Amino acid sequence: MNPYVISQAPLVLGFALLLIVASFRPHQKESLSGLISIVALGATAVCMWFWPPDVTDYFGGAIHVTPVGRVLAYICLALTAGAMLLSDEYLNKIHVTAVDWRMVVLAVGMGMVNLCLAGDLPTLFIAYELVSIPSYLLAGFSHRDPRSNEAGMKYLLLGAFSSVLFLLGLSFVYGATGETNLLAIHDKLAAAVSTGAAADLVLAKVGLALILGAVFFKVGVAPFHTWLPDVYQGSNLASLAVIASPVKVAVFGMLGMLLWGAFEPLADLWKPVLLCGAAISAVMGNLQGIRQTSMKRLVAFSAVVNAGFILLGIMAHSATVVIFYLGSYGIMSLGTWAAFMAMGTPKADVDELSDLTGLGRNHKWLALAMTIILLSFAGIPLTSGFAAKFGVLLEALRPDMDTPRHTVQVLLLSVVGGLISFYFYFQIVRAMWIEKPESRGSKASPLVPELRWNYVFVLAMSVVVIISLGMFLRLPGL
Amino acid sequence: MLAPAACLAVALVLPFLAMLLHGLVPSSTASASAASAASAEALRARNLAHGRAALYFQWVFGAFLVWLSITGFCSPEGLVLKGQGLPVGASNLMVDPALYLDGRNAPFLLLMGLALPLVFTWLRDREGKYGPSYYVSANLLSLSLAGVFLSDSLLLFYLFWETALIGAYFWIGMHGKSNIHAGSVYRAVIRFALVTLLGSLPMLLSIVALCAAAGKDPGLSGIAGVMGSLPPMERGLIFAGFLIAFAVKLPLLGFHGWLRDTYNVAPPACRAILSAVMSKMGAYGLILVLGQGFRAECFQWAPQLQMLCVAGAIYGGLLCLAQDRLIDILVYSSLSHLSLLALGLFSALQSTDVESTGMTGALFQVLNHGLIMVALFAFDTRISVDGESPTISGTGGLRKGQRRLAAVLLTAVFASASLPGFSNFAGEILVLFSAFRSSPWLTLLAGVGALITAAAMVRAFHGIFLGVPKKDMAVDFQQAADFSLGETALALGLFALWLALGLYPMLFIHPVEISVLGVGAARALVGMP
Repeated sequence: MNPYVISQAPLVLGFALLLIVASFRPHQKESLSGLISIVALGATAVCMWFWPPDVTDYFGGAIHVTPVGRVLAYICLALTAGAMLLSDEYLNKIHVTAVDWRMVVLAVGMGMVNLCLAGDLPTLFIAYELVSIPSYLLAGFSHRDPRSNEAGMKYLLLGAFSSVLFLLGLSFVYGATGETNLLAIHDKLAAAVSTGAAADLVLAKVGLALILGAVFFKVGVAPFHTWLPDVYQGSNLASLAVIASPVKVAVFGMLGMLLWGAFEPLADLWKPVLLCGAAISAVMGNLQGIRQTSMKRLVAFSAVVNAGFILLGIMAHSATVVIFYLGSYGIMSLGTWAAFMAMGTPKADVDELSDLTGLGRNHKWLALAMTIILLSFAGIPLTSGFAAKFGVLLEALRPDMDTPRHTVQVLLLSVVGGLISFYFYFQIVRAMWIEKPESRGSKASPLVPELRWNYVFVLAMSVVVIISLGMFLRLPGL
Repeated sequence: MLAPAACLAVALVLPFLAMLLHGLVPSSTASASAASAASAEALRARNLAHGRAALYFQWVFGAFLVWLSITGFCSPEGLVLKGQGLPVGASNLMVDPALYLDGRNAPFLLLMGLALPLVFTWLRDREGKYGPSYYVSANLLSLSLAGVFLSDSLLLFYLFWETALIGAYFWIGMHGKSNIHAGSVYRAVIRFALVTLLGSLPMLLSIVALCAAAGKDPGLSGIAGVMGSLPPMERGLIFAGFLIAFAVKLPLLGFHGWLRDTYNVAPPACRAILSAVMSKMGAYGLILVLGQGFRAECFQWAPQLQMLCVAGAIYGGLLCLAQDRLIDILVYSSLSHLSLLALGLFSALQSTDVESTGMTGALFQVLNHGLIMVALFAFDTRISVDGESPTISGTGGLRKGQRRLAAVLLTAVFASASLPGFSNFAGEILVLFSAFRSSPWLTLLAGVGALITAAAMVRAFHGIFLGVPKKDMAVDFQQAADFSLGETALALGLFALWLALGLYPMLFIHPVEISVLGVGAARALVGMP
């Protein structure tokens, strides 16, 4: 039994166990499936930890283990486990069968892990689909809610389109190089670049462009981001905790590893494209976020802006900085969904800014936690969001870095775009702390949030991680 | 009187502890529907208790800061506290956070140490309407201000710059009062926040560029070394990034649009601290960051910047003349005087040798302008009724009702007008001396600007306090409470300080000049980079 199969076994076994649980207790409220799922995810991580360090290829190169890939896989598993914990009572509240939901999430988990470890084109595509298709289900899981149906449909159509582009790109790359193994592709491309064989390269470049387009759709880089706000607004919060957090980390990680690995010889092509994507994301994500009153849409536009920053990090060729940013973004995102869940009442979710009026007065710790997460998004120092942005800017401005022209201008654009981000993040702060309930003029009673232990736990953990990752001061005595 | 360098960290820890104390003391959750008299009374009592605790704390903290600043004055080689850092954001940039104190930033701490107790005594919350969040945000602001003035590391500097904005945002946003002249609180505060960020985000990029070029955090003292190794285009951009941040904070002419509305809606204590201390963050940046790290660029741009400052002085004076309400007059006089402060600095940098008159004058004006603004804004708040400041056209003869207040306000107005004998005169004359070396014409115009501002303020005093009370005043200002004996004694103590420094300015100038002149040499002696 090779170690890879041993580590994937918990996920498969977990899936099977959930099937059994589903058949015995089809529509009842139960937490057993949550426990099984979290144990499965944890067991996978533990098994991965004990892999032999010298073996990097399994199944003849189909699975290629790199340190970057492993760290990303751990991050994805941890975030998915957090999302699973959050889903405990929430799924019952929105009348979703918990077992079904959890099976789908385990499938996504399997896909994410393999996406980080893919060594050749078929594995890459299978993992990509294994991440995408269950995500479409997750977006549309609350089938009684018409907005959820719309979200699922939109995500399906856009995602299917993205998968088609991805597959076409992969097949063009195969056609150009004749190889499926990613390392071999790198060697073939490097050889073609050094000998100047332009004919081979054209096909590879077209393939790369298609792959980039597909991935940009998937993660919501502007101008391919128009589906993001509608899908975020329509999905339920538990699904968003999976779609908007670990899935993003996995797909961006895959993009980074592909570009730094197989497509590294074509850097002259993808670096300017990433720079462009970052510039457009900074502009459109920020400008479109200004007028939002729905909090989920606000978070969607913030995702676009953050996607731009991650692209800058990938362009700067710095793995540690990108991993840090992805980890930080993942935990900030998870914390946001945990906070929204905690702010919801047992009957309904919060979505409008006006629902939050007076939260600072009545539930100051919840409001404070949300404020810290928003400060992290806005890039205020002593939070991980600032440290991540600082790292990206630093790497992009290194004197020996080979960056395309106009990098400095795009960095300035992204940073000053943070001004506009500050405005719309602080719309939430304003709603919680500054708006007075009397000024609203409505007779609605103040929000009575349901502060369940799992929401509060995940929220508190995310705040702790945000602040500790953001510290660059060693406290005396530590 | 040397203190161990650890006291520098205490200056930051104390307000943090105060924040925790105010924030963590359990209070009953005030539900929106509770309107019974008993619970309102309990709320009032709780707020008054917080206020009293805050008052005691500010006196203790103020005394500590004064002691610390005197230590800084007395030790020309300075104190440095270096911490151990961690790599930021998984990049390979090790940051070693460092705090420092010597004669260059001691004036700022002295100002804070004197201003905070005065503000919290004269403007204490008598009716118990401000809850604990008022004091939490006030202490966050104090913490950040102290941090800005003490930081030697660029990342720490940026951290405290941003947290000052956050503190001010919450203080004004949660406890400000809207005004028909200035609009709603939120609009003013978000404009303030966005304009400040518009300045500080380019500064972030400049800091990152410096760190990337240096391979580490160069600290305030290391900027000049890093800048020497960069091409001119980059040097200009980095300089511009810092200049914008400080120009917005001070503010310089053209960047001052946020000033009036923010000061109008801010709670009175916040208004005094903003004008007295927070604007000095900009002054600190100009004098100690630009003045030390960017000498060549400052020399290149000094003529234009000096013209900007003189224009600001004159424009501020003209705006003062045009205002009707006392608070607006004070706001624009602040703009005018701060432009003169900046003029002192840019004149000093006009020559490539270290020219200490202008820098010392600017540092002296930091102290003077801050204390004068504390006094003036506090007195204006005390004479206001229901948040309405008295107007020249609508009031008159208030001296009959508030004798002590009128007396101290008149003294403060004269001090602000640079009456010789007061320290403001000594500071301004140093600034004008330095400006004269660059350009006599500019000095003349700067003097004219100062004159216009002085005239406007004296005219305001005449219109509001002297003369005959107008028949149908919209607000009855006679009902404002006069100063008590204790508060008057505080004011007299402040005036004694102004007179002492005005009649014997070398008390201040001597230690500052040593630090300004001998910084490079002194640091080399002690083996610091």
